[in-house]
Amino acid sequence: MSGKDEAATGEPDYWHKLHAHTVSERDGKNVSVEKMKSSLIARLKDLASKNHCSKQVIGWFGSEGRAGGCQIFGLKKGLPAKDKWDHPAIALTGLQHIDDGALLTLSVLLDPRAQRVLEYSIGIQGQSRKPERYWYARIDLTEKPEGMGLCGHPLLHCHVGETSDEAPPLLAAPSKPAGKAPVFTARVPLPWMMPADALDWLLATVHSPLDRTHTAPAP
Amino acid sequence: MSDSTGTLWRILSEDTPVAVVFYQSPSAREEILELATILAPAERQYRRTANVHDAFSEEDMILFLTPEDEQRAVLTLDGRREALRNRTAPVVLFLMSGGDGEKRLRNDAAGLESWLRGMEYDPERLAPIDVEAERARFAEKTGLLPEDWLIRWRGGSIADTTENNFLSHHAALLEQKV
Repeated sequence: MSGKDEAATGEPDYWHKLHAHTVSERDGKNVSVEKMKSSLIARLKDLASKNHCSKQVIGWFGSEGRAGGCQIFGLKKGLPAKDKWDHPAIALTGLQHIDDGALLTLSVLLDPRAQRVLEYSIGIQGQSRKPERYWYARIDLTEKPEGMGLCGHPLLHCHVGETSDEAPPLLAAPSKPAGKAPVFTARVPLPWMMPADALDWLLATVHSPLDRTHTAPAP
Repeated sequence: MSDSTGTLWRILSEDTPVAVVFYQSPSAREEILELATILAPAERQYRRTANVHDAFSEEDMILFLTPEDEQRAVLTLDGRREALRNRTAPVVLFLMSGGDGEKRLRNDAAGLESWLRGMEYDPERLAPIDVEAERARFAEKTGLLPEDWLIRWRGGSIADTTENNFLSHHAALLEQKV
């Protein structure tokens, strides 16, 4: 169904409904900042207990923000691992599908007063074991619609590919001719999920025993 | 990035005898308690108590002290603080931010307060950021002010990379709203 269909029937099309669903879930739930932190850190504590990352991980989180305004919750600077842009990261080991040294990065933008998660970006990048190649997946929530429409750029979406930086960093390519076509990147639409749920998916993807819904067969 | 959650983790990991956590509401207190139990080191036992006198007996266990009468708890801990010296795990006193317990701590319990330097956790009190300096740093890095960068980002003309998603969070933090 297209926008034209919507105009014809008066009914919102699927993409507008998905957008409304995301906005409604994001704005309709009172999200406690502490609870959101707890759920993320609990996942990582569990990951550390299974020796997939440093046991120090639970002390690696911090927040920054403006009084009475938004906050960013993420990893503190100065950690042992970082990505190519110097973002602090959590080095992962012992995973089924991805080599040791894969990096988990995350950043969550919160509005504590309104108790809302405004944006987040959580990803894993590394080298897959078989086939051996670069691999990344990243789930992004954006606060406002971006790009040309709600279908090609839904608020909550996932990227999966070989590298998370197909495109040069922002404005870092002055040699690029003006008017060059934007770098192709697919955004897979997702229904609403909290940051910890996004982390669940990423971890279950690279190591199926970490799937929290997995139930071991009876002995 | 300030050390907010890391501060709570450090408080729970160290051997200092007493710490304080500030909360905004009863429900926020419960949520911080949940976070604290996740952050508590696995090798340490912990339990919650409303009885301030437990602080003087269960010395090797983290005690999350949530007293009914916060003022009285502050005065008791202050008056008997020397007896806390043998603690090997902290008693973590929960006080309502701006409440009577905190006022008592600030005004009438200088001894206890002096023990609490670096041992206070308040998720609402973030280390202040220098907004103007951060905005200048952002402009230097990207060539644009945060508002202008966000216009381009939202217009889809900036590549959707990890770096730029992280930059978008910083831009939103630094954005001057009209």
